[in-house]
Amino acid sequence: MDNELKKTQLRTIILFSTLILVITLYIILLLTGRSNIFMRENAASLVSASNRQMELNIDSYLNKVQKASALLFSSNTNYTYDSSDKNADPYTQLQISNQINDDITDLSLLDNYADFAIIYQNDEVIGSLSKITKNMYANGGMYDAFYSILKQNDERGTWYFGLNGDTEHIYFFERFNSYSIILISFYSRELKSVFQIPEQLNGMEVSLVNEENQILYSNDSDKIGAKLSAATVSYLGKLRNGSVMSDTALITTDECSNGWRVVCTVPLRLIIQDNTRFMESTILVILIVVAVILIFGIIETSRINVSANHYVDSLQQEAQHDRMTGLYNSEEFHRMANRFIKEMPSGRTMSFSIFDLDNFKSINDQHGHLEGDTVLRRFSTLLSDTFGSEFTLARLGGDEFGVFGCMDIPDEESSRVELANYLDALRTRFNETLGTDYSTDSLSFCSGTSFVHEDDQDFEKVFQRADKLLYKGKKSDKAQDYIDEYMDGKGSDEI
Amino acid sequence: MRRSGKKHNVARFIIAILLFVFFFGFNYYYVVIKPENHTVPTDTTKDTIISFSWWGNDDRHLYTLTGIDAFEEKYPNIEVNCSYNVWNGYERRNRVYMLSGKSPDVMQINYNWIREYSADGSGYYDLNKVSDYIDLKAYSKKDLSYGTSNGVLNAVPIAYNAVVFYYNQDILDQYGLKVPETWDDLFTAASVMNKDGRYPLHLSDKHLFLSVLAHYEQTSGQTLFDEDGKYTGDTDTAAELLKFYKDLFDRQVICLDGKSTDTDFSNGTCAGVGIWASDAANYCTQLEDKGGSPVLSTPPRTSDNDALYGWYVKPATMYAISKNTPYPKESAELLNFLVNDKDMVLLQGTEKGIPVSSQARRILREKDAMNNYDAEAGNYVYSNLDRFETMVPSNENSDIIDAFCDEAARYVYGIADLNTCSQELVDRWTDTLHS
Repeated sequence: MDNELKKTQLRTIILFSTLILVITLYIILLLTGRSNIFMRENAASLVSASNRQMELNIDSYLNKVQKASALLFSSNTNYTYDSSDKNADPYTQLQISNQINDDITDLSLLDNYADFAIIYQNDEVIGSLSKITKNMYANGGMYDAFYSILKQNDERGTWYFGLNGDTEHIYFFERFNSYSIILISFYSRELKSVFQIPEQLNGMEVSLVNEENQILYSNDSDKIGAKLSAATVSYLGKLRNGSVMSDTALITTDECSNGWRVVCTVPLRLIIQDNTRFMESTILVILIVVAVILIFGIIETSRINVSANHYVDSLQQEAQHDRMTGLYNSEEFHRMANRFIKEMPSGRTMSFSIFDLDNFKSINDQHGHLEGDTVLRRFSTLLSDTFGSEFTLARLGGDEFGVFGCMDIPDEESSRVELANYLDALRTRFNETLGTDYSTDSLSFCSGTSFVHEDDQDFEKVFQRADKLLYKGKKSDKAQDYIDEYMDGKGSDEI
Repeated sequence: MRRSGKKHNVARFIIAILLFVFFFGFNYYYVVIKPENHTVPTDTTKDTIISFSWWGNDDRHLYTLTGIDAFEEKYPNIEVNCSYNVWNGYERRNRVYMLSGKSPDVMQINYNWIREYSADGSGYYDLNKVSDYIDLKAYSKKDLSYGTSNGVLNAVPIAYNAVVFYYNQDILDQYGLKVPETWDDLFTAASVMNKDGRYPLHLSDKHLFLSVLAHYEQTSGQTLFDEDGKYTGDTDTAAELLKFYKDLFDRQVICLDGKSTDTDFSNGTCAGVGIWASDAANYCTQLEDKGGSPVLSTPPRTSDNDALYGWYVKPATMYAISKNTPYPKESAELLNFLVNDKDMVLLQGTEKGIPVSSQARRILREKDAMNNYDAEAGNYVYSNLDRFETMVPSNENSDIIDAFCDEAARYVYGIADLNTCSQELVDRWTDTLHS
């Protein structure tokens, strides 16, 4: 019964905790999931806006270069200069050459160009040519190479990346006149400032790619010159302006005025990393809280159980015992006796003795009921002291008491002798105490003792036999103890 | 007994409340407060943005930009905006910066600019004020004296520089010529190789002017400009300069017809170059790559005397801080990084010559990084410091050089006669030096 109660209590606590856990997890997952969608949408808007801003920055930067190139056309003298003209006056040629050089210096005065020069048919260079570009054509062929690039693209102006495998420079070519080409270049890393905008998120990879998806600039400098990943190209498809959401990343693309594109990739896990952190942390806290609730619940329940057990024990005590003497009451005694008989172990002898005080009524009458109660308590103490814990004692009602014994003596004759010894001891003690104290009232007692037979199904027969022996004593001289003489119940012996 | 039970209950209740407050407080901090550090706008993480400018070629631009990346990593709160150009453009850019008062916080400057822009020492920031951030112990007093103007330390030198001469041994051998050491050797060389369209020397305008100046000072025993930068000569002196220039041109020691380029040395059109020691690797490596054999010689002289009279040494370039910088501490940290930091020293190597900073030299020696043409030329300059004159700023003044080249061209091409050009040259120099 107790175990069932505990199991029920444990089930209730676990059920309650699980319910809290499930409901809370559901709410968290619901809110986090919804928030993830919201954050992805917001991030897409933010990244799109910043990507567009970067595209405008790139356009502005490229336009600045193109305008610097265009300004070289402002001088007619410069425009018509031909370095390969053998008939021209050498001093005049030198002056014009110096003037063009001056103009180029002025046009590039405040900008970081790697190359800014005019290349003539005879490979003469006016302006500033970087060592890298110069070394590419150390054996000549510079003009022809640039002319070829312009022919393949747009002679009015062509942006070019990867010249002879170089990934440091971004080049701009423009035809100046029929025998010369303008060349301007800047380092790819110059675009770092162009790509630096306040809305940039950590983990955001920004690239400038050409039509062949080759990376001209990236905030991850190791990727400059490499190709955009096949997965990114595949996700973007033919999209030139807009955003796509892959399984793992948000990818945004915007096309610049020269056909190059700004491609921005943000891993989704970075977008929702705060949410994921929130979810993990909150789940951890909830698990801890539920565990605390569980532990507290179990501790508190066990405390309640201990308290309840004490109360139940107290009730049980009251229900099973006689209030006055503290011995078992008649009902409990009968129940116990029946149980003993049913469970009677072999090798033991069981007995039942019933006691009744003689002349007790006169005590009540002469000395009052309180005195009578005292006599009853003292007699019950005598019984307890004499029979000890081996025997089960009860007040059966009024001045009647019962003693049920289960002695560890296999043969019945020895049991009888042993029991007789107990009865003698009781009578001796009685006579020395109660018998003496109430001699004037002739207070004594009678008893009848019956053994439990093998064919006794319950306590009733045993009780009846002992009761008969008790009344036998009562009807005779009183103060008599009768014990079954024969185990078959056909006779009895007076002690 | 019952009171004690009540106390326990209150204690348990308080503990439970504290536990909940702790867990939920921790959760709130972890989820709401702490994440602000994770998603951040990139350009608000830098507290200070400073600017830095220099001149040079591709190699210098690229290793300097890489060095700046390393600096930004070491100093995450400082962002550096870079401005760079080739020499000609940079010189003009610097003038715009200085005259407009918008110069970069840290700048590479030329030796003569200290005289031009900071004669009283107030044109650049006083580096002694930020000496806590610059390891000046790596410099000798003499080193620092080059950057000191009117008692104010305006700049620290990066390396020493002088004009050095390299020749293509293969071409000399082809004509049975010894390595030129005198002006006569060069005229002799020109006379034997002109028939093949070759000429002995390629010189840029500045080095051509310094060569003519050296010849004048060697032959006259007079300096062209005194230590205060004043012109010491007259019209006849200018005429002497122009005449020698024309001599070099007419006898085809040099080529002036617009076809002379700095690649002529590597492609075998000319037999030698007069260059800054810091440019040695640029020229010699190209020649070597094409199978040539560069050989260092002494600058041309009139005789075999031991002194290098007429030839000057100077700090190759220097670093200074703008007098208007709002960030002197951060600028000084960058300057110190550029001259003394191990990463930067190894990136730079001997590209600008043998470093003046003793710390930088020690780093390069430990890494055995002083074994190329820059180092060879740099060591030549270092080992002959006492034989060179100390550069007079006027010798490098771009207006003075431009005026000389203009008048020389007018004279050489017959646009004006010698007297007119000489007078015009003196007038222009006088105007320049007065301004």
